Amino acid sequence: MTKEQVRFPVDAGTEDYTDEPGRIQDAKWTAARVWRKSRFAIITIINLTVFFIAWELIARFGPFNQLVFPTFSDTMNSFKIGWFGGGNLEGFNNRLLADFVIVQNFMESLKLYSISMVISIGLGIPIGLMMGASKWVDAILSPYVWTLSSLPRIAIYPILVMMIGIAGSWSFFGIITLEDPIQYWVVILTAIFPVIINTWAGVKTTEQSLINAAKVFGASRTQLYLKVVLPYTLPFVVTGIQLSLSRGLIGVVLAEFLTGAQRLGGVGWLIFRSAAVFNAPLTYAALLSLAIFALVLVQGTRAMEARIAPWRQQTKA
Amino acid sequence: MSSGDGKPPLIVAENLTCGYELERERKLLTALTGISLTVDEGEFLVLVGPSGCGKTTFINVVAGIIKPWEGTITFDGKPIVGTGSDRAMVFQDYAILPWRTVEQNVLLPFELRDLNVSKEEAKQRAHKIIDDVGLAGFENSFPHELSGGMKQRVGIARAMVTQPRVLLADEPFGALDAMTREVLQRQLETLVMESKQTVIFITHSIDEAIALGDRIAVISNRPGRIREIVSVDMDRPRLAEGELTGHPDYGKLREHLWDLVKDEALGAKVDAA
Ligand SMILES: Nc1ncnc2c1ncn2[C@@H]1O[C@H](COP(=O)(O)OP(=O)(O)OP(=O)(O)O)[C@@H](O)[C@H]1O
Ligand SMILES: [Mg+2]
Repeated sequence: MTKEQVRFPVDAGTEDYTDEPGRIQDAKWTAARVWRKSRFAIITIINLTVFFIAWELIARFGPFNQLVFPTFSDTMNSFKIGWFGGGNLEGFNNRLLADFVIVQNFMESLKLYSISMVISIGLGIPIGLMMGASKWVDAILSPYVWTLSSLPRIAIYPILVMMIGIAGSWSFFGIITLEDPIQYWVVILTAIFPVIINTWAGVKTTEQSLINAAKVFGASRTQLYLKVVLPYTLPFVVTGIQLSLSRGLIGVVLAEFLTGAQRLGGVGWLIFRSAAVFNAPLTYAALLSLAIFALVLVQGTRAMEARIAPWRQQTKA
Repeated sequence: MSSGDGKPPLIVAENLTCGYELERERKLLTALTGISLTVDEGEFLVLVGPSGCGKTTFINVVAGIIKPWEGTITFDGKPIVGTGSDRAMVFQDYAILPWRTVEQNVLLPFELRDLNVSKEEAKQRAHKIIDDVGLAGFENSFPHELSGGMKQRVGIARAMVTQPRVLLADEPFGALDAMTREVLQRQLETLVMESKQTVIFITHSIDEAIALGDRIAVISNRPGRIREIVSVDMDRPRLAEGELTGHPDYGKLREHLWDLVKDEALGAKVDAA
């Protein structure tokens, strides 16, 4: 291979670009473009490295007691044992810490979270659509929706306790069993409203001129909803789902704090319990797990938004 | 080209009054009042008037989107009760669907109404018209990737693709640069000459009105009334080099229209005097 052949195409030669007017062409992968596209990833990696090193140093030599502010390495050790097992617990703070303890609790939380989110989204979208499309449904439901959505959800917890109790389980057709149904109530009540309200707002704010245009070109009422209102609303729904996903996460931690358990109460419970027994590395490891999960989730939904509504691009300021 | 050739007019508006309900203020706003107007088949009627005088409102009544409060309006002898495939519209604010590509936007009329056009033919027609308005190569672009003028051309293509009997055009060239504007004006002129397209056309430009219209209706300040209807008796094509400004009637006509429109633009003061 000659030197000529491996040359990185830094110079997008004139032969690659034509003067043909209006021609849309594929952008070349020049070094400058690679840097422009990936600089945020590079900066993030450097940023996090510095952060973790600083953490380690401050925990080791800083003014805090390691009992409450563990080192990064201890945290990672608990993280490793909690997720992948095979840990040597000898000489280690092993209150609550055990092989796979984070995974097991994580799975508990994931079940609570995913089922509640499916219910929230599955109910929230049609409720929002109906409220947006029908003045009657709007008039009937909106007092409840607005009151419940603005009320701090934890305030209705005692009522839920009185109504459904804190333990027990609901079984649906023997297919699925929900332990502690009150937890599902807490999560759904925290998560459902952003979906409802955003969907409703999307329907309500559909541009009149788009509706007029569809009418002029012959849209029936059904077509108007299918071809204009729904697509217009879709990005609002996605925003609602995004908000809802992070609200739901709050709901999960809240529900697990409130109802507690002896074992396997979920990640929220693990954070709470491990702190109560002064196993700070485990608390931090569980928290870190939650943070990573939340981050992946948010980034995932942002990618989803970009795919679903490319016309609503972020301004590149 | 006023009526008198025996055929009844295509559109007849009699004593129309219409307006809007202002929900917040619980008031009714009269946008247009006492509008009586006819449009012949094959005629090019231009509406000019100050901003907010009700031009868009009138065109929406013809389109069938707005119901008049009083008066009657008929199309081909039948009262207008809703929209129809015989009337297509180019919107002042484009009103193209942002989630559809240029091609999909232009195909919308075929999708919404059963016009007895096969899928292939619809596609063919769409491509032809996209080509005609100068958007070839952008069939698969999304509106957010287009300039304002290009979006407006999508709107024009969407309205023309079904070959409607009447084209309702609400300031279709308002957002275009001078050159594109002239190109499209000439295309429209050719279309009008060749196929006798009936057009109701709104503009703020007196030159454009003279260049394109058979008759020009000047509308007064809100509530809009017809101030005067001016006939333009000039041969087409008018847009060829020097034809328009060199025409002996041009200067007088322009001045007359200017006076009318200026009066209306300064409406409040005129009323007070
Ligand atoms: N949807 C609406 N609701 C309430 N009032 C409206 C609405 N649309 C128009 N109006 C009012 O009706 C009047 C006429 O509006 P219209 O859009 O027909 O004006 P126009 O002549 O097209 O003006 P422009 O040249 O600025 O487009 C305006 O004064 C406006 O305030
Ligand atoms: Mg207007």
